[in-house]
Amino acid sequence: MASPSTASLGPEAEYLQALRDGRFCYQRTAEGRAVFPPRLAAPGDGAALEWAQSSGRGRVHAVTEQPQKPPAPSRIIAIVEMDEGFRLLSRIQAEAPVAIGQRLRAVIAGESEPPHVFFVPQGEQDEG
Amino acid sequence: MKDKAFPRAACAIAGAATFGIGLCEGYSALEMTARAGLLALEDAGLGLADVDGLFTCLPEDLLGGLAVAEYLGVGARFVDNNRTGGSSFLNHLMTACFMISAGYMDTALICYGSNQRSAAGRLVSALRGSVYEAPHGARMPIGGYALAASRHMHDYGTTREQLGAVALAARAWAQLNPEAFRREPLDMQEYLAARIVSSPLGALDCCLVTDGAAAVVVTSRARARDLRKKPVAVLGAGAETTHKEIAAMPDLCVTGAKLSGQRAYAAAGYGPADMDMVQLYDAFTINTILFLEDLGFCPKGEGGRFVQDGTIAPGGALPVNTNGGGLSCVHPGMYGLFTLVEAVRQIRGEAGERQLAAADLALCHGNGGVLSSQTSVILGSMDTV
Repeated sequence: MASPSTASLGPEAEYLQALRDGRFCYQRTAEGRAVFPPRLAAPGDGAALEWAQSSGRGRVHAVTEQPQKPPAPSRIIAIVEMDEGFRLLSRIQAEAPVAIGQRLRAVIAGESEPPHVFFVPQGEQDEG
Repeated sequence: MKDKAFPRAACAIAGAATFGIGLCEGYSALEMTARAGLLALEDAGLGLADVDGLFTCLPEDLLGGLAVAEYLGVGARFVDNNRTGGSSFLNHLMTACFMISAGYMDTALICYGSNQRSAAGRLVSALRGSVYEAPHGARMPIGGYALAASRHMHDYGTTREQLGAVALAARAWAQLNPEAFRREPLDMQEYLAARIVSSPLGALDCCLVTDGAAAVVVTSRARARDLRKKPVAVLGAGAETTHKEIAAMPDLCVTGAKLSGQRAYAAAGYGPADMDMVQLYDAFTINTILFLEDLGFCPKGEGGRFVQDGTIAPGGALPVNTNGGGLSCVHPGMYGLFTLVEAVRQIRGEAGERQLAAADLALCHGNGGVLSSQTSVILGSMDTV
């Protein structure tokens, strides 16, 4: 398992450390339910969680474009649904507007503080 | 069953007031809150010595409950500083009704005020992004509502014009309300031409940023009967919380209002078809559409079509936000308490030019966070008890 290794840290710090090491991780239960953001136990039922590495593939679930003061380009903010079944808020780096259903690939900004992932369009449009 | 545990009509709103709506230069948030509280007590014919429970939160003082308790010299038996965003004050009312009916206190004062237009000149929000959300620099809270709107448009074909119908209805009501901050006419062309802030939402999809304060006085219905004004019974209430940050909302098109509404209806013994009006927290135009669906006034996905032909505007079949709402009347950071004050004024018949002919039952609905916390309250005249 692509588990972040530092067991003495809380899940949030473990997640951030993994990003610094170039891995975008999420958690899942023994039944395969994906959980994000990282937690000590699965929300609602307290099930045990183990780390897994995300494929980084997902699609736009909802999207908004926020114009910035010129000359800065608009910021594209999306809720991304990952192929593993969890969602997160992120930004999309793209020249043109993106639509719901657009396939995306994660880019790890591991040097940023705090480290995070953003997305770029890749491939076809899904049904949404 | 838990939903019916609410003490139906055990308590009533005996006093209600607003203060400093629009611009209130020279007053602090605490002073505005206190003034609204004093006015609501005067409206009820009660004094500070009658208040033994205080429910409040201030925009920037996390311990504002203590500040108001000290300032007014009330609330020693219980102070509730619960803050779930703009729904806080409907939650306060719910708690106060349980505590009064259980006999721990006689009279509760619920109050709020903010001078954020004259002091800060921008929305003062208690929202803070997590380490997962903050690095993306999203403009919030509008971004959260815009994401929900994008999904509603995608799934149900909701249009900008339908969102615009919500803004136009709010403005038309505001034109009948001398207290409202924005009263100049608004048409669809102007709405559609407004600058986009977070697509699909533009400047005229957003609530105002104003100064303003409000307060209500709650006591037992038996006590309220002997006071200055006609009591307004608290018939039912219910709440539901689904998430904090928008990415964690289970379904962007279904809010916790579905459950909070069901709970309030179950407690009150009334349903959506019985309501003479709806006073809901319209932080953004999409809120009105989502809440009307979730509160049972139209099927899921039909909210846009429900509002598009003036159904919720003056003269329409379902009066919504008869004061002009957060969109056109007042929005001092948190609007929830104003839904209660407007319903009280309508039920008492004090609403002047905007007074509804039938005004016995009101559904008030508060929203907190980014569609996160939902609380519904049903108020009624004495005839509805």
